[in-house]
Amino acid sequence: MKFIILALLLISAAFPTVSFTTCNPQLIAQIQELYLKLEKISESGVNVNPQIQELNEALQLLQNCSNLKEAEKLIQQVNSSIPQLESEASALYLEHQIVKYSTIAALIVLGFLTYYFGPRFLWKAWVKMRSKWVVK
Amino acid sequence: MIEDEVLGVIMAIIVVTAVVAVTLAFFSPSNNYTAIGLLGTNGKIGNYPRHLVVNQSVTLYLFIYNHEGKAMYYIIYEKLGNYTTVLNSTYPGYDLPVLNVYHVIVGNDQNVTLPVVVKIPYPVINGKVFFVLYYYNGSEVYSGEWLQLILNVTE
Repeated sequence: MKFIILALLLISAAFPTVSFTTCNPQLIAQIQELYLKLEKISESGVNVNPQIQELNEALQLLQNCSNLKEAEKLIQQVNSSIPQLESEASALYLEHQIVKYSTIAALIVLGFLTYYFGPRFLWKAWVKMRSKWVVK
Repeated sequence: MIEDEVLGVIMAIIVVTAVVAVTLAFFSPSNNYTAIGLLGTNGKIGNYPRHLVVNQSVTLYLFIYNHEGKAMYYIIYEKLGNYTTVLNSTYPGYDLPVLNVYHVIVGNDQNVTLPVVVKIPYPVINGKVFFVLYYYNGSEVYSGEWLQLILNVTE
């Protein structure tokens, strides 16, 4: 049993998991949380590329464990821009919904108009096109 | 005056075009994917290390292209296996020791070239270094994609 434990300890020492989440797991968790928010916001069509880029920069800083303050600053910047982006997203969502349902309503109305007035218009045009025809 | 046949053909073209346009607009097939590739020490295909000394660091580059239709949070696990280790689209090598973990966010239709460090702490013959791609959507999900590099590590 002791040998097994010793062997496991040696193996774990031989393969140090250089997981950079150990560098600052709280910041990584914050970045992941912000990413999910940005992903949701981007579904409505809002451009979140600048924020994504900032988060990525923060990730690269954390990767090197080099400049945690700068990484934290970038995360805060993105975090502070979320409310503004969310309001833009809701406005854009409303706009998309209005356009979508207006288009559906217009298509339905157009269908009815075509159904009622289409044949009349078609035959009028047909008669007009052949108005100069002579039956011999 | 347009002939009846010509008018008929024009109307048919208009109707077919409209049907195709509506179909494409509402039922366009999604073709989402992520492409990954391992680049050598100079950031290009080729120049892959075959032999390393124990604890020697070598920097390679991982190219990731995102065509998933949205920004993606990728997590890449660098793992070490031996020549019998085989990964597939459902098995990402759960039991393999992890050498490194990389996190990166890639915008839609954008790519990134990520430097990755290979450093192996003990001798291996025909060892396989795997780069296993996960994505994050609230939890880590194996994408089914991975790369491998075969090398020998000597004292």
